[in-house]
Amino acid sequence: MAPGSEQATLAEGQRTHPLTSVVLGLGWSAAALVGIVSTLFQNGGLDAWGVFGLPAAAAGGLVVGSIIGWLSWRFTTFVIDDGEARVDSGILWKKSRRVPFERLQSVDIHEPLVARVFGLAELHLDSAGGSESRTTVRYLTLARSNELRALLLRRAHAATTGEVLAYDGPPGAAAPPPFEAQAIEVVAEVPPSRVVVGTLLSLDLAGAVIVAVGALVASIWFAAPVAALGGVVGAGFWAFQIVGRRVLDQWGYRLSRVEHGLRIERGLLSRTSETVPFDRVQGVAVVEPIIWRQLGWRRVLVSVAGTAGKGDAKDQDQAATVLPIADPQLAQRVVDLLVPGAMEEIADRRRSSGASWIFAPIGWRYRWIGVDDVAVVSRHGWITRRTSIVPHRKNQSVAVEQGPLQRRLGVASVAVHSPDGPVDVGGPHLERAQAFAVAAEASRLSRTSAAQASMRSGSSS
Amino acid sequence: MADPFDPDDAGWTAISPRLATARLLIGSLVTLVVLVLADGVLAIVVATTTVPAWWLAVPAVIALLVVGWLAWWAPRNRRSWGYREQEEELVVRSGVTFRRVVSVPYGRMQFVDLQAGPLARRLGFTSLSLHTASTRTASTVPGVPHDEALRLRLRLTELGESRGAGL
Repeated sequence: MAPGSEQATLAEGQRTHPLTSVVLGLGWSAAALVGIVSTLFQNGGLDAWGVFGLPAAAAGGLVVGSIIGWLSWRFTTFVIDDGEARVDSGILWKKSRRVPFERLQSVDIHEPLVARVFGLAELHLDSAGGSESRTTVRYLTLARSNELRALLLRRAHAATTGEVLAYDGPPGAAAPPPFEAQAIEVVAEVPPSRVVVGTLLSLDLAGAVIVAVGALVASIWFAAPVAALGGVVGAGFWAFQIVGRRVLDQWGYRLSRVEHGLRIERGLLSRTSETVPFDRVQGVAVVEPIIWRQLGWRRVLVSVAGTAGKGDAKDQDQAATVLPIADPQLAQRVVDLLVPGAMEEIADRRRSSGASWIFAPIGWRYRWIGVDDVAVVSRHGWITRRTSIVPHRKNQSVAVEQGPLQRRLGVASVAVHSPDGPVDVGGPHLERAQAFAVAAEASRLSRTSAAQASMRSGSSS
Repeated sequence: MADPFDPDDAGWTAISPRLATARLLIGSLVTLVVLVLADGVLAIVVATTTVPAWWLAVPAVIALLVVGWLAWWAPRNRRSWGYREQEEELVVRSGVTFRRVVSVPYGRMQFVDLQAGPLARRLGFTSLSLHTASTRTASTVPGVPHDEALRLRLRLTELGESRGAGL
């Protein structure tokens, strides 16, 4: 690589692709059009304007939208130099967003439908923490986006070397190899048919179908056909939305290994390409809904620092998905890539005490927590089974808790604290002595692994 | 450690007894204000309607019960708090009814906060919170004597720096 030349081209502010004005213009035009038409209708102006009303409104919207689009493109520039990435924008109110490389968590490429039609994409620069942590550069050609992503990630990696551990190379290796923009290896490709079948067998869909059938039966029982229509249409729409959204999102799903991370590419209409850097992985969860379990299918989720706290639990699960549907071997392989050496099944399991049945009459049989050399693993749930894995290096703290009823039953709960995300390791209602034993073990391993990690990074820098 | 939940177990650094005093003081004050307000309203009711005057005693009895419970609870809760500086980690325990023991390795601490209100400053204690990358650590030790809190923070930051593995 020749850093000098890259710098020279990017040190001064660059414009995004000229077609950006058209894409943004279309967006604004649509908004303007809706505005103008609704005012027309409200004023009853359609009669006065007659046949010319709508075309005039459309033309007006297009003109206004295009002007705004062109202006906002004209006033946006971005800079990528030695120490930072910066985006300046705003027509009247200037806005300048600066992202220091050492704070850069990940760079994603997103192709929204309209931009994709023009062969354009946007870059998302994610830094840790806060709701305003995402910086967007829109729009660039896809090739240019890939090029810039490679450049940004290389810079970010350089800014943090010494701290960042590359699992692929031997510890203490020389300077990291130049960042490869292209994938090293394709780990998994999920065919659309599988996503469709998986979604058809999912619990949400089952719920929607049950509601629809229930509504139908109820309406026949009470002889109220209108209510039936409402219920069936509502539930049908719900089901359609579930299937549609998931299938559109996960169409052409491809997981590949790149330098220092995994790359996820997905989407039918809007395509997204995200990278999960290995050293930001805080934990992994494997989710097996009851219907999928019969077929041996599961979903793999990952918890990455800085991405939590957006949307509800369901949205978070969606955002954290690494592998939407997979068989056990593939899932185990991906888990192993994310947390090297981690096993989903641990032989040494501490199960919840039978005395705790009162807290979960059925569920208590299915709960366990275990500690091995690499990670703390726990499992719970009998309808949807969830196995959570937190590597010792990422374990932040360990707690043992006991309420009054638990005290009477002689049980206590262990919780392993990892950064917020879909991964939640804990052993509820273990026998008291066992709870303390697990906590002590997890705590001890978390300290020794941290000491090893800091020694390794110390020797490599 | 023998029994981490045992409040009489030696080896745990206790927190300032003045925390109990402060809590009792503030609790009693709030109760008094509520009592005065309630009796004020009741006095108007008694004066304007046929409600018997002994009703005025009801809030007073409740207030007495509340203060009595506070006087029992505050020292008990204070005694349940404790921490232990071990070689590689800080262990914090708390709670009588709902008990909790958290162990936080020094290397995982992101920052340490001290916080003291006007009354706490007067009585010379501070609350100390430990923050790791996980919000669930949620470890705040109330009522650490001021000088001890400063010492502990310095020590924790030093240890955190030398052992830090960060995220």
